Amino acid sequence: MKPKFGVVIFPGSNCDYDAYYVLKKIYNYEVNFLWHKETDLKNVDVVILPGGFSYGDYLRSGSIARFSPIMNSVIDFANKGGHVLGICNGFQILLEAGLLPGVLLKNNSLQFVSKDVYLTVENNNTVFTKENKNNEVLKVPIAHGEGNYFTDEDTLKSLIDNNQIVFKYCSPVGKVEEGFNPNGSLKNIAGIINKDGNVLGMMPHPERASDPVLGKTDGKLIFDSIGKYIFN
Amino acid sequence: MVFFGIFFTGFPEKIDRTRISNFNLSGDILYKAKVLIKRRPSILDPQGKAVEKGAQHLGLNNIKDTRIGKFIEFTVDTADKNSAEKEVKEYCAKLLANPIMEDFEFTLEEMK
Repeated sequence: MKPKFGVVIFPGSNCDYDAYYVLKKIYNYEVNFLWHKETDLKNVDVVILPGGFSYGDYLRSGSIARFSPIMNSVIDFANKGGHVLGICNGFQILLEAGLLPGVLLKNNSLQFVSKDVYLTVENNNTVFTKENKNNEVLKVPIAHGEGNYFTDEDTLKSLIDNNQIVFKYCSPVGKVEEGFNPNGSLKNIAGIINKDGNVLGMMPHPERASDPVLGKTDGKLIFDSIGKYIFN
Repeated sequence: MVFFGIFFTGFPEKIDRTRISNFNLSGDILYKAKVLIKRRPSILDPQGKAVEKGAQHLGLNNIKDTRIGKFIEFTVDTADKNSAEKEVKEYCAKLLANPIMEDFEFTLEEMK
């Protein structure tokens, strides 16, 4: 059985169609757009919060999107065990909504960084990463100005203890070093999952690395994993 | 109205009353709320540091520890000061500030 996806559109989302394209055209999954003003999740199995600049990123990234009508349904859905993937601005929204711990500060360089980065998969025992059986290093692009993950020491310890850090920025051969940290993130964190393992937030864009035409396909690991393991 | 800026002294003194009508039929009191949001001391502020470089370029070598926050003002129309305070506090805690990285303080002033 194939999972059914929902891609939320906020005013200012700009990776919604990229996600839709990959899920529909590359995978032939059933995909619905979910408008921010609605509350109906249309019976989807996975909700994607796409990248972009929801509500102009005013106040703080994700802070206004978090209170949109659709987010009440998404929070409910997640709390009942529904699968949610937040990419870039979607990750920022998940943090503002309290579905994941911590915040994303301005990049320490103060610059918007748009480039390919390398990621280690620190936890391949999640629905989103199980296909990473051999611990390959992934090459996936980032494009953000506020991706500098920060949290307090207790939360960081709990993230580590519960194996919630899923992706870290690394060298092309998988060495996690400060020199390969593009934004100043604590412990090179690029993506984290909640304790229950159903909500993943990540700054890199797997949907921009899933079509061979674009020259890189490492992002497929995530969509492959979801397709294979969400019902198993 | 929302202002994003650098704080050196405090709140601006002048209030633009031309855009606000004090007249209301409900018998409620109109308050002006002024909210100051500051990045918590433990959080680095690269933006403040970058702006301070500008100060050095201006030759203002005595400027130190520039931190950038937000100043937000709005009106609240409630029956009494307590309920106004309660509402402003909720606005600050849930939306205007993120308690993980920011602290907030506010004042309420009855508009005459």
